[in-house]
Amino acid sequence: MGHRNKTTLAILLLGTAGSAYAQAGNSGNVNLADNSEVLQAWQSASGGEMPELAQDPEGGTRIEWHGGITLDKYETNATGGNTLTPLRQGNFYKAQVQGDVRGTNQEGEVSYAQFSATNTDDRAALSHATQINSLQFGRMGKGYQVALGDVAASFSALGASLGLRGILAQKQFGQTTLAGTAGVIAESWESLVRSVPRTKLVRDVAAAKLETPVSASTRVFGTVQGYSDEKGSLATGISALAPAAASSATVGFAMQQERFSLQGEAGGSHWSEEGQLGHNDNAVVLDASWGFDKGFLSAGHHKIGKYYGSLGGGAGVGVKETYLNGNWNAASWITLGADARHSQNDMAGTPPPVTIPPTPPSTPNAAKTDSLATNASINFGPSLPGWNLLLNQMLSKGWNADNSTNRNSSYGANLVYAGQEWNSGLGYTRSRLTNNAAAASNSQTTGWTFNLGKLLTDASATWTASANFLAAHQEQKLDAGGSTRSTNWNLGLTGQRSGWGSLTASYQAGVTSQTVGGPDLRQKGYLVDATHPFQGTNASIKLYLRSNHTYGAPGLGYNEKTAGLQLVYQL
Amino acid sequence: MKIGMVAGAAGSGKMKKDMGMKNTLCPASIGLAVSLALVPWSGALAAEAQVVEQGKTSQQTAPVKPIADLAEAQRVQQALNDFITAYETGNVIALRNKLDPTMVGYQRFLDGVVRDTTAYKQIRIHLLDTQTLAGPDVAVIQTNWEKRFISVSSFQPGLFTGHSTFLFHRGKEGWRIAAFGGDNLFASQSGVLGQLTITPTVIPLASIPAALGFIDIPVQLEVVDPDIAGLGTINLEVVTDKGDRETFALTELTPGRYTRNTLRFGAAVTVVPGNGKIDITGPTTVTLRYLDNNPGDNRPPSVLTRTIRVQ
Repeated sequence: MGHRNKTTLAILLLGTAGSAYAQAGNSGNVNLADNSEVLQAWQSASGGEMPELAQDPEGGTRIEWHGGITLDKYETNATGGNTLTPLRQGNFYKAQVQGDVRGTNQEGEVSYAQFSATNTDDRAALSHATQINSLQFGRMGKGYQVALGDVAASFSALGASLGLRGILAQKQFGQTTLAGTAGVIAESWESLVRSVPRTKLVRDVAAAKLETPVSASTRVFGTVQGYSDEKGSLATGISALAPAAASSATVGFAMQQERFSLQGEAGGSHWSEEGQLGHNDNAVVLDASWGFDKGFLSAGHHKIGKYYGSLGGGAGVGVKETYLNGNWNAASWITLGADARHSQNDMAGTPPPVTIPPTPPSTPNAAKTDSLATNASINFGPSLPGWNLLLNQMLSKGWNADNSTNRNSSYGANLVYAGQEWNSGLGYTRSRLTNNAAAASNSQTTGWTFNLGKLLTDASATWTASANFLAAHQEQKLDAGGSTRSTNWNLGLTGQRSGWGSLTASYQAGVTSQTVGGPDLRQKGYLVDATHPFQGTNASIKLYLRSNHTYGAPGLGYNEKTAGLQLVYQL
Repeated sequence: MKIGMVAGAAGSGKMKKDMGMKNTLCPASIGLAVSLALVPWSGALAAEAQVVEQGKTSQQTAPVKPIADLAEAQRVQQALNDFITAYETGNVIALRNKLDPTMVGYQRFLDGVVRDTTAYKQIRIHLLDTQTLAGPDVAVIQTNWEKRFISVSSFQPGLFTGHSTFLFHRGKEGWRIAAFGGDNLFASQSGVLGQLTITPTVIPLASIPAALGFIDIPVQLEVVDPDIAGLGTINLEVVTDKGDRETFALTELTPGRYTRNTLRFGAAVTVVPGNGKIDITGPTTVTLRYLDNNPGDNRPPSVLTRTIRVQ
């Protein structure tokens, strides 16, 4: 046992923790110090308790710390009012702290705790002073895993796929896996303990999944889940929605055979709202894909009932759609792609009664849609390396609940060059939208874009610099009369030198004419970020300046300026 | 006993959203959609179990990480910021390329984005109270948001607010949005919970004199629902605990914001539904109901209610 009576502690720095785990053991640029020194340094830096090094009976425990503190002090000048700018005027601070500790014993069992929090007096960033961004504890080992706190469960598309505050556990019994989760969905930890006012009902949730393989290429699973809004969790008058509850069960499978895969799931549910009759509904999804030498093809069918109630974040209710999607490398110089689908949207409102004059639909959203999107990527071979022509087309032909039309289409072409030092692109787009249920924005839009970039670097890669220029022009003509033209440009510069730090600067300006006439809306702004690392330390400092000024058109002007200093210290 | 130290750099990807600097250009990027299989949470454990099966050698090799490190949360936030930037600049091609074609409601979402980016100019998204949870292959961002814009048709500024949950899955190309929960920030027609507000909520009975057939009492009614932007007018149903049932029209002031300044009341001996005024025979509870056809958060059409007490 090579690690008997020996403890190894690795401190990995925030931002590179993932790769650093491997690098620490392989890299020759590793500075080594005694564990005790590091622990004392931690205590000195954080002011908190030293992490305790536990040794298992077999002898070896590995503890990893990641952490960081970021302090911002900045001044914001913002005018224009809340409808135009989200920023608040004043001098603000923001402190962010995060930590991650995990220990791995000789059996490979990992125990971990992660924490991240922000404190600020800037109500544009946080609506209350302190927020726990994430809090999680857990342990995992051979065939099991348990997590507490903020947990993310992704059991299945129609079952449970969500983030919650609670517990998540999983255990393997041979090839069979049993997983379960329970807890609450709440806006934040602070609202959960009522240290800040709630604006949404607290929702109790629970879900379980059982999964087992039935052959070398196929596994099957079943899920059960439910939720219930806590009736007394919100003060009277805050929400205009009634508390709801739902329960559902699903079964599904996934098959993978060489380059062909097929997965499906079907479920049934009961959803109810306080004071109303409940609804039973169902859902089914089936997706297949096939990869071949020169591309792939996928197809599927989804049908989610309007009243289907589950914890599946991806189970968008009221949808019925069938699609065919593919990509084909037709020749060495061209690749083609296409997506065709038919969709029904049961959330577009019920068809209005036939009246004279006609009753308009209750929503301006399409109830049925046929769509086709195609694209092509063309290269010009070795004689013109780096050059590509990209073409695309999208057509969506929809009908509203009253059978009036709701369509959009667009066509685009982009000629691009990507070389080692230079890059450039010239693009053109043309699009049209018509919707009889919301005709005010029916219009045709054309646009041009151009970009040019240059990258400079020295032979030893000690420094790099780049410059980019972007320009865009767009004209939108309304069917009802009037048009608006926008012209914008942006110049950006970046530079980086080893040991010195990095500098990013950009300036942008633009002008937009009003559809209703009157003076043009003008915009100008700049951004500067200068970062300098302190050699020999884990700290860096950043100076940042932001300005965004919109003016010219009465009632639409705002001015935002921010100047700040940021200190980052990595533990 | 030695300690390994590896130099690294921390990012601050959220700074752009915090400080409000936005790109107003519309670079057209064109690419090819690719399929991405969803990776369930259980996949991480299976992968890790393999590592654990290898026993104590797992510490010497680079294992499949069972637990996401903190830097992963920044990568997820950056993925969301990229998505937001594409939406703000109306770059539908870029958004399409960031989506999984197997996403339920794919076309409804894309059509909603096209509709929003056609109807609004100078879209600016501001996130606040953002919380990020990153697991090994699943991540969740929960945030409040504010969407500012200028209506193309009227050139008036508008503001929508909401609360969203974004579910991300990690694939070969990094973090990709797999599902939208709560209010849909990017495609109004994919569902945003409407907001129904009424002021005042108490009306003195004495303000409805019996001598008059009816009186229009100042009551500020407002429905804000981005899903129905552009309709022009909507109807609000009013019912009372005395059996009256009336319908009042609200007019669109700015996209998705419908208002009305008065409600018509009349003192009555008997209640007559559908006569265009709210009949008051004594102390009455008046309930205003708005049917939100798509309230988001995977909820079926729901009725939003507010009450006024006449006493």
